[in-house]
Amino acid sequence: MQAEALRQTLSSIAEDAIPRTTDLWPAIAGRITEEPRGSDRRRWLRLPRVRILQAAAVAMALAAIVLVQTLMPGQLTAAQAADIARNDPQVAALLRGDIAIVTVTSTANGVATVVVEDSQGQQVTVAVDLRSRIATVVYHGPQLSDELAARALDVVRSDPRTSALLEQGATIGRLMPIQVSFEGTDPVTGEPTQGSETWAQVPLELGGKEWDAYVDLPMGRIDQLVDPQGQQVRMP
Amino acid sequence: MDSGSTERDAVARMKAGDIVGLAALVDRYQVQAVRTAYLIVRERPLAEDITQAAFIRAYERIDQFDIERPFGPWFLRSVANDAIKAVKRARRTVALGRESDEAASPAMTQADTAPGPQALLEAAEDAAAVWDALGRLPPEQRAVTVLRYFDGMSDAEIADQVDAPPATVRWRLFAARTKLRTWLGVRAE
Repeated sequence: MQAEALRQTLSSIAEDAIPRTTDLWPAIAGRITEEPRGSDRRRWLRLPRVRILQAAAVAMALAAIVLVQTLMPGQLTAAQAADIARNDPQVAALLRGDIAIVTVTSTANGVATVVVEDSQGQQVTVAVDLRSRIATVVYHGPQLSDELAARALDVVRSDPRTSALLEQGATIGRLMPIQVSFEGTDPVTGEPTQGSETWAQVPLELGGKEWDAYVDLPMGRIDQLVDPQGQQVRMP
Repeated sequence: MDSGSTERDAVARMKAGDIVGLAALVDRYQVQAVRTAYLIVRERPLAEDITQAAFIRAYERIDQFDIERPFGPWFLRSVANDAIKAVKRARRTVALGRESDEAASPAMTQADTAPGPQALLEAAEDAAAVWDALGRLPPEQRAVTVLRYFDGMSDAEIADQVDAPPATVRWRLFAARTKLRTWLGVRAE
């Protein structure tokens, strides 16, 4: 089905299901009137006094711990190293999504290795010196193993489409692993199918433009080659 | 007055706490937003709930919005992301085998009950096939397909909508197209 036909079909489905006369305003206005802007704050202020006192006590205890640690300098704990990595501006600059996971993978020779992962699965590894508190970003992004990277490069060099780009002077950028998951119903057998494989995304740059090769590593072939306009480059 | 300045006026009124500003934006974007959400979540009541909640959230958080930017993309981003989350939540609770009948195809119903000229019937069958195939795509691939082919967004605009790098969007689009081609081709045979 061509793109224009798909667009028209989707529009037709949506127009059939959701008429142009759809009017959400009465419901929205009703909900806003019931719960005006800022009502969350007022609800919080209506909390029982004992709950507020408990929260204040916990906050004061935490403040005391922080004060003691500030007055008694020494090596950072792993948790403090994780906090430093999480809040490091270099990390914020490298990750796109919200920080989802922070893991201290090792503490050795006075250095904590912290892996910070965002909600999109991108990772930054940070080395935190436990005494000086200096954070150094070691590398960012997930990486392919050497074996898989070599296999991906072999595929890219042997495919006629990408080898033609390389012959014209294209350079290969940073290889990225892609976790390809599939689930749904097999169109032939009707059986539910589900699985996951590691593929490689190989960017090629030529003349300031970028192609992306999606390499099916188990099959040893390029599944898709996408040109700078977002179109698939087919086999010659 | 052009539509851009009308929209800016509406946003300015919202920032001042005037609900009339929100009413103007609801009037302008509600149909497109509900249709976008519907194509992703495949249930009209849920699509309407998502859109209502997104409008209310926009009203609550309008202070964070830069009045010089167009409201539509900012708002649709919220709707598309909420729709993806809703589908994922549903997938966690619904058995895989139920997906194919999770929502009746409106086009198929129309074809069954209102036979008309041959062209109308063929169009309805196409719509039913596309609807079924769309429902079999994973949520992220379904969302990028809807944003590209229904909302007419570019890779870069979609990337902004779904908080993903453009290369990821291109990948999802190609994976979705490949599957749609296979499934729609199998059905046509």
